[in-house]
Amino acid sequence: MKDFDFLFSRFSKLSSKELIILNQKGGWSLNLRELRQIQDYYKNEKREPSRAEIETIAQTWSEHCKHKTFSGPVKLITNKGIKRYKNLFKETIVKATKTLNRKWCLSVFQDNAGVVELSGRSKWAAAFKAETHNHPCAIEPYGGAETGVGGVIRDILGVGLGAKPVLNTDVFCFAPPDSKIKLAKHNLPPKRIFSKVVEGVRDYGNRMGIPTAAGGVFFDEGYALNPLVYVGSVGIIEKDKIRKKIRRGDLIVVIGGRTGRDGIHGATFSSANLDENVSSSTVQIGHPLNEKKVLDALMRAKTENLYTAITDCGAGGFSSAIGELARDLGAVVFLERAPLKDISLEPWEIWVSESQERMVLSVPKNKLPGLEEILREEICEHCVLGEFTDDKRLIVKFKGSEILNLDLLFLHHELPKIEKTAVYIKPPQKTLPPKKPGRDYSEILREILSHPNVCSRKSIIRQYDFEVQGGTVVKPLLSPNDSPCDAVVIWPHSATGDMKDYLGFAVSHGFNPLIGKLDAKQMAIEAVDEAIRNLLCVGADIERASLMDNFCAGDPSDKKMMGAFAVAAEALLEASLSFKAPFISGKDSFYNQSKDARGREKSIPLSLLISAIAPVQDIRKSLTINFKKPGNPVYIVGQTKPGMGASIYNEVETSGNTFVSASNPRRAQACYKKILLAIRKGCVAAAHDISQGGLLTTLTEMGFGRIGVEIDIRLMPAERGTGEVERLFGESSSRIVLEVRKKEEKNFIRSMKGVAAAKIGYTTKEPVISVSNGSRLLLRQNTQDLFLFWNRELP
Amino acid sequence: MIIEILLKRKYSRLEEKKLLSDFSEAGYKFKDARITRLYDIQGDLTRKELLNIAESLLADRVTETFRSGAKERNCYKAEIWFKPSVTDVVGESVLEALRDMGFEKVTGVRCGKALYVKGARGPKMILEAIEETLANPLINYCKISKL
Repeated sequence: MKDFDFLFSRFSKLSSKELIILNQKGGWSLNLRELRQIQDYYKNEKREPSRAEIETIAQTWSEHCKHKTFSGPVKLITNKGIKRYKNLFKETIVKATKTLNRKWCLSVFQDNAGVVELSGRSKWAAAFKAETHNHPCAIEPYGGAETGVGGVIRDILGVGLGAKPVLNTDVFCFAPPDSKIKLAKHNLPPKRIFSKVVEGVRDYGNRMGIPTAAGGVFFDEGYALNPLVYVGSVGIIEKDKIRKKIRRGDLIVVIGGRTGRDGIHGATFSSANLDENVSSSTVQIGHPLNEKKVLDALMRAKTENLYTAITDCGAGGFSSAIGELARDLGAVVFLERAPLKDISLEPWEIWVSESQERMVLSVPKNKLPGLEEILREEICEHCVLGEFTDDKRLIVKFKGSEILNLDLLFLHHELPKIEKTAVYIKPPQKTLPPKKPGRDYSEILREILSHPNVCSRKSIIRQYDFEVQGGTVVKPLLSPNDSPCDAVVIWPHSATGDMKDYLGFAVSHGFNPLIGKLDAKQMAIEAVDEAIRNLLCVGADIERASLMDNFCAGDPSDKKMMGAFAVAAEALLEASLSFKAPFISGKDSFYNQSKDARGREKSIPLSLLISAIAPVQDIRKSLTINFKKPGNPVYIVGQTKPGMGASIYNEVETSGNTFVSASNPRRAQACYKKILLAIRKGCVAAAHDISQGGLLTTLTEMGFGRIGVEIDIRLMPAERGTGEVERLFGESSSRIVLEVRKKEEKNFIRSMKGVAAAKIGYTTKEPVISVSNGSRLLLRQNTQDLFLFWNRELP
Repeated sequence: MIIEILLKRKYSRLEEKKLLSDFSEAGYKFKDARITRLYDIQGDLTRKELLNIAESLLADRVTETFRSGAKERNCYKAEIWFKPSVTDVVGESVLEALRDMGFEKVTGVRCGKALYVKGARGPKMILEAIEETLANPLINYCKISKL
């Protein structure tokens, strides 16, 4: 540290080499251009920086906080030529939302979460946010998962003047539990990460009393060194409480947990590659009971209008939270007032500590006594840390000494923009027709059903209290037999207090990085398509669907990775405009890479999670996937296309085909609108999308409710040249299987005019799935026997 | 003083089986393994007060029992604790509960686990097995002793 102190004391005079050494010693994850920019600032100020100042700048300028890759300039080189983006995020994701200009998007890209109106007739809106907590989960899965959930819940508490969380979501990517990949010494085994992450998500959600009800798990060897943990939350907020309004003189009040050494350098740690040199202080520990006290106190204080703005202490701690709230004004902070867990903390450590369960409020002076009374009653610790000013400077004092005095314009607007080069060459695909399998279809279907990416998630879901708050209408496990669901439907009466209003919302996901390995554009379009059709399958109003993007990738200096990332972002613009579904929020996580046992740098596959939310006008009319009645006609809507690329079939059988057919999102949207109309008319009894595993998996899952189905695949609408294997197991996009009410069949046919839809068979009393190709019987299996293969326990 | 909470024998079989299976999967074969919860309760308290705390707060009287010293013999005992710099959330909650119950003299509570293992070749083997299954060296430290 002696070297560090010496170099630091001469910061404004250091050479480039010395700056790089200092940056490594400080753990700041800044690049040379950024360090030079900071150096210039202090040269102009004619002084040396304080430790608190550099730490604040490093946290604020981190990839984690500023998303400088996605929001920065990108040069994309493809076989079509060169395309330059000044700000990739604004020119893709934000552009989609601005072009669509939906009036029901009440707050997008500007707050801790996106806020959408559920209905013009309701005073309530929904706030939705999902983020990742990958690096913390890789080093300490239980604590990492817990604090991931805690953090995203605080985003919901910190949106507008605070929303009440009514749903948590979780999507995980792990290596298969039986993975044989040789791990480096600092890597934890996949099975342990898996079980501890689930425990962390479970304990935080359950103890907070928020249902964890929507999500998924994806297994791939590419996540052996770097697991992905996406956590999300939905809250309900009054439409007139979504704007913050801070005035000069308002007090900076911190409520919740105490500040400790836990989580120091979390933001900069998340913006670097994982290696063995991780300090225990970067580990964050969650305390859900403290956050519950914060939640209860805030909901009361909000009703009594006791504060004018709120945000959470996330990455960067006070430095980011107060820096953000004060960005258009200024603030003065007296750090010695912060309640501490550990009195040995240095002032700069107090300032950047990421101790959990803390929220920062802006409180008018005359409202403080009222707020303090509520906080006392809810046993929620607090302190008045300072006040907002109007001089556009952030000033932090500790016991009389000024430890930080920064120009907020510099802090928030002077981050240098560095152009990233992105190169995309679509990998070659094998387009020969799939080979005939060497065994019968029943055997393949059984293996697909028990595949880790298809089988039941019951062993995870049962650990979550997905019923708490009493509003989970379409549940993650459906009766009978704990069948899966496409999307969860929530009736948020616990937040609105209105048991007569049946307005609710549905939440779904779209995710398949296997497609991305073959075609980045198709991965993005299919992720949006899957999320939208999952919403449709529960009867949600997809014309008011909104989206969130969560990208995870490796090192952004990898040109090929950046190429796939930029192509996928561009495809999201196309998908969003086609489905007329705006993006309302999102996050990205880079540097998901680390060294394996041989010291080779390994990155995760480019991973894109699309989360979608849409209103359900009457939750009592929600649809589920189970077949309802024998004798009903079964339809497939959407054209089946050739190609077995990225399919589960290719993982259990050699087809020799890796082609991924292109989606047509505009055509899909037109088709989905007609299905929605048919659902509204009451024509549809059950709906389930075709995704992983293909048509046979979809039909089998629909039959878990002990009603069978008999179909003829020759009747399926399919592109010319689509073979038997592709019809049975292909995963081409934009297809849904519908059970139509027999009495409403004519009405249904009228509704579906002009789209590729065909009756392929009927539901049967006998719980058997029977599939033929014309007169040739391909498969006849009892659905309850197949259920046993699907219903395996994930370790 | 450390209070130890144990599952009663008739309820602990499943847990022990799972523990042995986790060790076995990680490549460590032991004859027997048992895990218990530890609470290090700091402050000026009498033994009677501590046992009262164990009985009324820490142990589930139906399924669990408690004690203030190990009775096992011919085995290794490994205590797993959070490092002092790591927040111990359960310890904090227990401290809060004790204060609510009127135990004002309690100054701090840390919680941990104890593992009793038979059939281990030595403490090194136990430490390796624990670090692969039960503890994370980043946040935990272990104390291993022979009983």
